[in-house]
Amino acid sequence: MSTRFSGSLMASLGFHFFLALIFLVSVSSAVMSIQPSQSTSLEEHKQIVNAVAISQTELDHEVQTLQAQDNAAKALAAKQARDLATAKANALAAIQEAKTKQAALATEQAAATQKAAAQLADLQAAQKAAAAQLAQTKAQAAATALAAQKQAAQKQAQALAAQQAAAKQALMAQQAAANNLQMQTEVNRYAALMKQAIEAQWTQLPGVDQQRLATVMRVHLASDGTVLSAQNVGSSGNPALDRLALSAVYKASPLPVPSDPQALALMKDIQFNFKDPG
Amino acid sequence: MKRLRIGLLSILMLAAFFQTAFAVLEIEITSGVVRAIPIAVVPFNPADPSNPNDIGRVISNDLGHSGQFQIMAQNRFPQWPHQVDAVSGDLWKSLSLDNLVMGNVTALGNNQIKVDVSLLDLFHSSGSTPAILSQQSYTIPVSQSRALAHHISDLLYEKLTGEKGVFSTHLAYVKVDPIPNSLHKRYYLMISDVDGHNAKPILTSTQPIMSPTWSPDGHSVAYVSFETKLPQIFTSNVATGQRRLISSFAGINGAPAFSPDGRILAVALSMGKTNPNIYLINMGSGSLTQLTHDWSINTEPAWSPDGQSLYFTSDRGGAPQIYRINLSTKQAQRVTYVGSYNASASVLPAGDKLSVLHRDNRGFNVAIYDLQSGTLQVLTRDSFAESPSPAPNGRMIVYSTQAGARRILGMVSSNGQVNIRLPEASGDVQEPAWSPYAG
Repeated sequence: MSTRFSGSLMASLGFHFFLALIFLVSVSSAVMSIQPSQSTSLEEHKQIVNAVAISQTELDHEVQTLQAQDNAAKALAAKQARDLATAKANALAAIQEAKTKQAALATEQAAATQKAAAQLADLQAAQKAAAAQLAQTKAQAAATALAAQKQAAQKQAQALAAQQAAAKQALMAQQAAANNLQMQTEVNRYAALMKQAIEAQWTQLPGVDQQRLATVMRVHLASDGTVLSAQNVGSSGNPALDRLALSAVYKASPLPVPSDPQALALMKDIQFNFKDPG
Repeated sequence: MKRLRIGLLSILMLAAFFQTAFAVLEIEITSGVVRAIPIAVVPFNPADPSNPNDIGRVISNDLGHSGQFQIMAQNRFPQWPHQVDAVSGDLWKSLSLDNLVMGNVTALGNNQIKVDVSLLDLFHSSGSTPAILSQQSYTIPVSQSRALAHHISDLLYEKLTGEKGVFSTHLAYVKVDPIPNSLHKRYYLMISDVDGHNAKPILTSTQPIMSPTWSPDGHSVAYVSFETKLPQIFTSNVATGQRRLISSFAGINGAPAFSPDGRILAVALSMGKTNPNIYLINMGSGSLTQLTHDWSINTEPAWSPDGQSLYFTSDRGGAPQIYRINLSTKQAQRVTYVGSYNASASVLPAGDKLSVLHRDNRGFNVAIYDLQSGTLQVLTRDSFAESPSPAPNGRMIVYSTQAGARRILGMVSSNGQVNIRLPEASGDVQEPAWSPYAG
């Protein structure tokens, strides 16, 4: 847009410069054409003053001369009149031409003005569009800000909820800890019962030294204490002794288990460490 | 900031709670029941109760005699399976049986038989299908039935106890038969299977044979023979019967004992005096080294497993007790202080215990002396026990004992829980020596 704008501006400037040039030329030629008529009337007045102190002959002569002069003056005046008329006509023509040119210039100026106005209008329209765009952007930003605010508020609410939940859980944990003591007592009781049950089934071979390493059995129990699976997760180094430990676990099945579901949950996966301390 | 702290606190509390909740409970199992493994040996198909070489029966006897197995009586069997897929695991599990052995014998003609044997584990899982611990198939001449049965027993024993079995080892002993219508006797140096079967003499004499002992490689036996009416020490190759005279010094030549490397024979020699002392005879060079130098009776040398010292019986303290002499310092010190009579020591394989003949007010019995604690455990109640000799795994001790008017062989587990007697058709059986593992 700016290139188009500056293009027309340049054209208009060029045109004005050309107009100014035309004016200057026509004014100087008008001044030059008027000057000769002024100097002629000043010379005529001077000649009248000089003729006061002269004789008849001289007068006659003077009259003749004056007549000649008068004729000449008349001729001159006629010529001057003709010249003046010509000059006047010329001047009129020039004025006419200037007027025409001026009119043309005015037309062009009007056109240029119109164009400039159009350009201005364009500019204003563009400005208006820009303003509209700006307004839209501003509106969007405002919407975004509002959304962010809403989100922040939501987050805060969530944080609050989480806090409340955490507090609730903490309370539950506290309660659980309290229950835990009771449960632990139950677990300990059944751990002792399980130990008893398995030891009764654990065959230790006569004279075979128990290894220093323990046989470690990971045992999974059903809710009724039935041994679902037993896995050797640590070997004594003697497969035969490991097998006796495994047999002891399965022979002791079902193992005594607590009825309390929480205590039971703690005892469903158990590790038995078979190790002869002696 | 305060809110954050509360949050953190509750998280920590939760973490603590879950840690207690999800840590796997551990229970220490510390004291089992010392007992033999309950096992059933189903008679092999076809079962032949009249055949003493019936493989299933030999295996059953072997395992039963070891002291590590409690053999289920056949009248308790819930079924008689011969194939693994015929086994009803639950039936046997309800009897608290750990393991089941079964097998088949197929005649192939040409005196060849095929023997299939399976060892099952019943309490290996929650299911009722038993696990196969071992499954073997052999083709042998029928005459090798007993040897194969002992081999299978070794395999089963090792599988179930983690220790090497001794069922393929042998015994050397002296058998004394009265000669009919005579006051004289006939003496036999006998070699038999460890269950007393397949006994055959490698030496016969009208004069006493005493103190047989095995070389560490199990190829030969050293013994005292009175065949010249005077005691001499010989070795005999068990397979070929080839003999070699080792010691024929004046007076007593007795109680030979091979060093663990087999190069030296420790003996008791009196060298023409009234009392024997301990000497070492180099089996290669024949050179002699005297270890004890006193006027008491010093006899029955027994090597420590590391070959660095000898245990022996001496009455230098007034009554027979066990002493130990360090072979580098030649210094002897008394070992046993329990009771008034401890003799005939052998060192158990771990080197931490001795088997001894112990006499108290109940008579002569086999005992285990713990070298670390200095305690003695009497294993037998025979009152007339003699010559204890431990198995190479130390789990059983063979000895001679009195049965009526005769002397027979007995075996006792080294914890005293199993005590059996090996029957002998005739005569007196004495001075048994348990062989090393078959080389």
